[in-house]
Amino acid sequence: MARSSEKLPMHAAPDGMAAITIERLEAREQRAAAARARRDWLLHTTARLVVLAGVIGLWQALASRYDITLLPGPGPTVAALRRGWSLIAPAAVDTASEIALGFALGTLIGLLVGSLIGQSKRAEEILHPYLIAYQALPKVGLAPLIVLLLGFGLLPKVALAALSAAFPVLENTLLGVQRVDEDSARLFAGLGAGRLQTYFKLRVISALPAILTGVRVAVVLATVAVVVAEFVAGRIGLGAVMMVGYAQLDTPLVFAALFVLTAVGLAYYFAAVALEALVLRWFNLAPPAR
Amino acid sequence: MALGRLHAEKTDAELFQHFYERAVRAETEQHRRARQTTLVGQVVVLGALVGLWWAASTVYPPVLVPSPPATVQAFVDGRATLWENTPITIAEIVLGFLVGSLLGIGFGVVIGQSRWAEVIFTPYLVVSQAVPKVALAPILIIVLGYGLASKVAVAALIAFFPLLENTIGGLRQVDPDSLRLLRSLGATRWQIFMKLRVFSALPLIFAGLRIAAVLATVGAIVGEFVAGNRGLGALLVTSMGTFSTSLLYATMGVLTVLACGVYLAAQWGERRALARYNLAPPEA
Amino acid sequence: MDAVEQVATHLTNRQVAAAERPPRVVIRCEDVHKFYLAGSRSVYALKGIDLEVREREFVSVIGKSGCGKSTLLHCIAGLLPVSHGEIAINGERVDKPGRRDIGFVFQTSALLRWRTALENVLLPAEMFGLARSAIEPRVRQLLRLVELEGFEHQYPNQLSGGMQQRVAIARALVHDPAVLLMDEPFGALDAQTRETMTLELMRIWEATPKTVLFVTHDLQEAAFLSTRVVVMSARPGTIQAIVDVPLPHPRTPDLLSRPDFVETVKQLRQLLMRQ
Repeated sequence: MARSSEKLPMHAAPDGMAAITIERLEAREQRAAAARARRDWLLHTTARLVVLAGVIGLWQALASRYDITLLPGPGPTVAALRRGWSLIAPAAVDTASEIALGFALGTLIGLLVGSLIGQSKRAEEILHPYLIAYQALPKVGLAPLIVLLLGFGLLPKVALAALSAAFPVLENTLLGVQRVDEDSARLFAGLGAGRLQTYFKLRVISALPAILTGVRVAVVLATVAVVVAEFVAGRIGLGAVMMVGYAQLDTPLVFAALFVLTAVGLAYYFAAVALEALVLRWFNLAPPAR
Repeated sequence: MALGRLHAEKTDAELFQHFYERAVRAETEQHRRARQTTLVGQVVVLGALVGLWWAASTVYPPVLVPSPPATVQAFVDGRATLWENTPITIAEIVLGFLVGSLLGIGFGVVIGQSRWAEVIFTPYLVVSQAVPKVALAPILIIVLGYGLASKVAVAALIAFFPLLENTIGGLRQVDPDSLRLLRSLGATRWQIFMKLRVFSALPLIFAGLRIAAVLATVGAIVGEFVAGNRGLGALLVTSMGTFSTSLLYATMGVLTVLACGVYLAAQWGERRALARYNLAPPEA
Repeated sequence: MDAVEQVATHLTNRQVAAAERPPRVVIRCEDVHKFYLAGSRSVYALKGIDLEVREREFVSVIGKSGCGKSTLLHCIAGLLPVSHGEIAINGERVDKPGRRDIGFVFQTSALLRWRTALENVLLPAEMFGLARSAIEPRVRQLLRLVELEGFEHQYPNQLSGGMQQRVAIARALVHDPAVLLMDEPFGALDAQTRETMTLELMRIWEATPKTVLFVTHDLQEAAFLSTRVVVMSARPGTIQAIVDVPLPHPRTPDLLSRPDFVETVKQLRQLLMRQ
């Protein structure tokens, strides 16, 4: 916002004081605002770290009052992490692969089915009650059934993760593909565009913000599904390690595996957030209002 | 142009009538056909699903895919067990939902009142979204035992977060003009809270309650998976372990009905609550 | 594609060319009625519309809100089916959208957010199956015509409202349609931009020999741009009157204070008031 220099009227300045111009005032304000922002950030981050330290301190305090098999403190947990590393590390890799595969499969299915249903109002109405039932049933409840059918290996976890991840992507794709700006739809109709052309050049791209929100939810759901499937099936993954510790009353191991699991889950979530930002930027679509 | 010039022949009222009747007839016909197609389609899909199930049961051994009649038989045979375990799961869901919701709203109100607290806790909230809270089930069971308490705790833990988030978010999104109005009338902080903020937050809180109901179900089931002693989830795991597949399927059926019931009840509850206060549902 | 060359044609050439050929009817509406149900309401939008628009005319359609002028434009474009009557463009009946001899400009510009200006203008060519390499020079020429040279690779959100509409106009011209349909294209712009755009449109029209049907609620705009103005009645929309605007071309801003122009606008206003 450039403005021409205006000199405010003032009396003869003593001591060679600089003339007050609007630009100088603006610059001063900006510096003050930046300083305020820095100070706030420092304050907030310190406060957050204090909270974190407080939580860890509380944990330590509680742990010292209880038996190690009931509530191990930070120390025993780290020790368990080191001692159980040969168990935890490959389990982490397994869990991470299960999440990735299940998520990818589920997202693909959700995109395809959501796009197909979105092409026809009739199809949507017919499938509506079934979609509601699919949404209402907690997919994790299917874990025992899926383990029974698919065994104890990688497959049931990937399957359950795919089933869980598919729904948010399906729903958001379905909605996004239908809710296109009226005039844009008329534009394409007026140009005689066919269904497929309209889908690829208009609908799916304008649905991207919604689809990516669904993808973000799908990552979290896939993680949950994998954890539950590992609880039920055991054998591989961090959830299975937790079950081993749980059965042997090796609570520090349970805690250690839990932390690694949390880290994996967080990593995937932030990856999804980054992917969302990247794709939106590539297509020059405004970020969705949260 | 065989029809000739309409407006020269008829009066305005006749013209309107002519078009109106034609449009209404076309539309009712369209609606009737649409409803028919929809109904037929839904029956066909249901038939296809059952048919596929039946076909699979002839191809695969009953230990993997029991036939529909066998499942119904298992339901009848196992009704005592089902009758015994279902209320336990329901109790866990309800209690977990209540505890989690109350705590979530409570903390949400406290944190929402202070800009400071909100700013400090926001990153932790965001992170908590990504952490699979069900993973805490084994730990909660170790700490709280195999009884009802641990499952309620798991359910409450999962139900807690959406309500915390939505309460904070809801309290924040107050219409600035309404706020100015109350301030100009000299309202105290408490009055502003009770008369404005609470109501602005209601749509998001009701939505949060709906989500929490479904999540409490998940928590209860997962808790039962891990503890494995009582409840529908435990029944699922034990019948899986003993390969009592028909019972597993029958229990799945009961669980599905229960879960759908919870979902529909939550939706209905949200709609009624919003209508009672004449509020609009929050933006999706 | 003669039009590519004609982009730089001047007024006198156009007048001479027009004088040599008798103007043929490009848009013909015969006894058009449009009735539809919207939920529980019944809307008799158009009643007995008879309209002929000849080659290279600039015809504005004015009327109060809800009188059906946008509906009429959508029917002519084939976006809406008529309840009775017939619409023909260049002799061929209009019964569905997608005709290559029509270009449409919306009030909201309807540019695709994820495409640059250049890519947006290319869209109709893609739809009609024309090769990008063949069309791209024409696209650049059109963007030059609408004075957006240098902005080819900007995204719509980087362009002002007026610039977005210019891209929309270029897009409507890329496949060289005979007819340009414009639905309150400057309605969403602020007053100053609207004035600029009106002059721009006049310049563009004089450089390209299109037949234009232009819907607006701004009487001055209508009178300034058009050779004829169609005044519609309130719902159900009929053609109340068609006013000739025999003012000379090229239309320049000093026209606005000429007494015969002011008189025409007054006449239009009186016709509209008489509802």
